[in-house]
Amino acid sequence: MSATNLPEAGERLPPLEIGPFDAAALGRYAEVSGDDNPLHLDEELAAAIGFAAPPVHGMKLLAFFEPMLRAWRSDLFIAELGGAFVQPVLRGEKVTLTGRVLRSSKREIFVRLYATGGGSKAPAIMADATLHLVDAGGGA
Amino acid sequence: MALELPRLRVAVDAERAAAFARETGLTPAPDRAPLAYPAVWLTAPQIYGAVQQICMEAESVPVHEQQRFRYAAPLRLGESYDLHVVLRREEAPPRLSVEARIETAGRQVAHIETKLRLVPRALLHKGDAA
Repeated sequence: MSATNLPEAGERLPPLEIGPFDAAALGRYAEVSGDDNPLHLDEELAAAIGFAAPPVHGMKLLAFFEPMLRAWRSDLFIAELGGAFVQPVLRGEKVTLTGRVLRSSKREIFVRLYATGGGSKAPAIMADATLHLVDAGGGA
Repeated sequence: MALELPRLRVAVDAERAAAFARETGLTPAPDRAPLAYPAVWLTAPQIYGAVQQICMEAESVPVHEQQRFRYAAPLRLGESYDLHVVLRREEAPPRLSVEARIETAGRQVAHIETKLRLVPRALLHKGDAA
């Protein structure tokens, strides 16, 4: 961390292990989010499409980057969080969230984020976040 | 093709925001909603019904491909917002983009972009779309 309290490019965020999520957890997320797509809840439907188990909601996994970012730097305002769902994480699989600062300035801090699950080396989610110092972000 | 939906008035329900926070690894905050909380508004019948209609006409099922949240300020618990939603069809590959602008008192506080890949039902029946 620099004297101006900015993270430095290259800094790695502390990884966050989440899951495994069971059927009850997926059911609770479906209920609270309103995303009751049966693919996430119905084993037979998931199997018919070729999954060994129902996939976890991508939005639920993406949302877990927020506690990771806040645990790392609660003093920064998260101005943007987004990502691409590359491959599914299945019910019962552990997930590891990792991140690294790619750019850091007083104007913005850009962080590359990955979610990797199920023993795969390829990411399930390729994401990014843009954060601001609170006095520069106008938010928080 | 772009389809602008009628403005939707939404609110951050404190209880639902706390439940959403717990299901996504957050300790519920006393004032602000989780970043991904607007996901709950996208499942409203006025929005998801329109998505389902487009998917039905395309004989496809939506697969969540990309998601992005941009914020100028946090969403506050108990606050009401105007949600302006535009659906856009994209071709090659077939996608549906759902863009939502969240405003209060005419000021934009957030922008959400959802991209859904439209997978033909016929492919699903062959088991090729997983």
